[in-house]
Amino acid sequence: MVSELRYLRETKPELLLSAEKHGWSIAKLEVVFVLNCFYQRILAPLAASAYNPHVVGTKIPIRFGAALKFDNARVTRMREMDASFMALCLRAEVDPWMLSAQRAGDLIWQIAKSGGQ
Amino acid sequence: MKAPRREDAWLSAVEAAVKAFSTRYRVLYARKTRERAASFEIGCLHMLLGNYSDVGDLEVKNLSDAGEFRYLTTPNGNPANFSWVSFKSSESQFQIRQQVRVKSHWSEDIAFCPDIVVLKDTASIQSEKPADFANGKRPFYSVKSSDVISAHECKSLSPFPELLVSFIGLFEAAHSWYDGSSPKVFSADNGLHLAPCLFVGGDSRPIQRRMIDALEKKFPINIVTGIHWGRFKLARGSDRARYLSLPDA
Repeated sequence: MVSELRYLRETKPELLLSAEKHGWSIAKLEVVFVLNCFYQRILAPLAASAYNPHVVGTKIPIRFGAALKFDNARVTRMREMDASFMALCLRAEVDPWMLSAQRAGDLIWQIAKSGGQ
Repeated sequence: MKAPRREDAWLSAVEAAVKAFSTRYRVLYARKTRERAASFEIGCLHMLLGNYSDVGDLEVKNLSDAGEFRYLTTPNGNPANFSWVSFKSSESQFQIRQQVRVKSHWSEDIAFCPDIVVLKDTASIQSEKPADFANGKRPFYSVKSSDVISAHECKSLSPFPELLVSFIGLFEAAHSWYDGSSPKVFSADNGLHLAPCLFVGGDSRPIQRRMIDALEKKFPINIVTGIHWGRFKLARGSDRARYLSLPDA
């Protein structure tokens, strides 16, 4: 996303200016992209096992190799971590939809259009 | 040009919050790619089991002595040494397993491993030692595609077009009940088995949603996107999931 941002700086500077008018400078956008990537690549896949847990993975723990155990305690910790990250983002006014964007261009275009709301 | 003071404050606040988050949770999130993929797959398995539990009984088989579900992490493991889930409806019984290799009805040489498979209860896992696999030293475990009711794939990625169409290849190779040259309608609004699912973590863009709709019209499949965002939980009666209507299942 950061390389796409560099490309957009050269090819569509007006889009970035428009986002900046809504309070999203390039420096802030770079932070949003890191949060987006961290959530989609790291946190969300881990938290997936805690969304709608079944008896398998809670009361009956799942043993995955020697190091990982999926059980009630893990579900609780994962949910706490997920909620904590979302709270961090919301405090920074990074809306959940910004974390779900697939491309820098989509996110910046949406901000430029609606101010990130 | 100097950045506005308000922006500096925002950047400092986010940096401090991220540091605090990392200090508190890094042990929890610092996991290998394989473990993250397994965690996503387990989330999908939960959705599938939740769906089946509405129409029958689930029983966990072959737990360890400690009462834990032994999760098969690779097709190289002997499925007999790992746990699985038995699903029993009023009329029939099935096996829900993960990481079991399927040999296609197209050719015995086409063998691959969907993330989750629902098998006929009569399915038997074959073991052989072909000379061109691990120098003939390790068993090559597989089931026949004729025993597969549904094969599900889990991808913690964005639903990019090539991912969506590659699932069609897996779908056709894994399900002998589907004849592409003479496709019948095997789908139902509500049935025992979910149609084969591609579970995708990332959310879909409008153009991808159009492609998903078109693929779902053409094939009896579900492409479930936005799992990272809880968009599609596959609860019976409250979603647009497609089910199978097969003669013997």
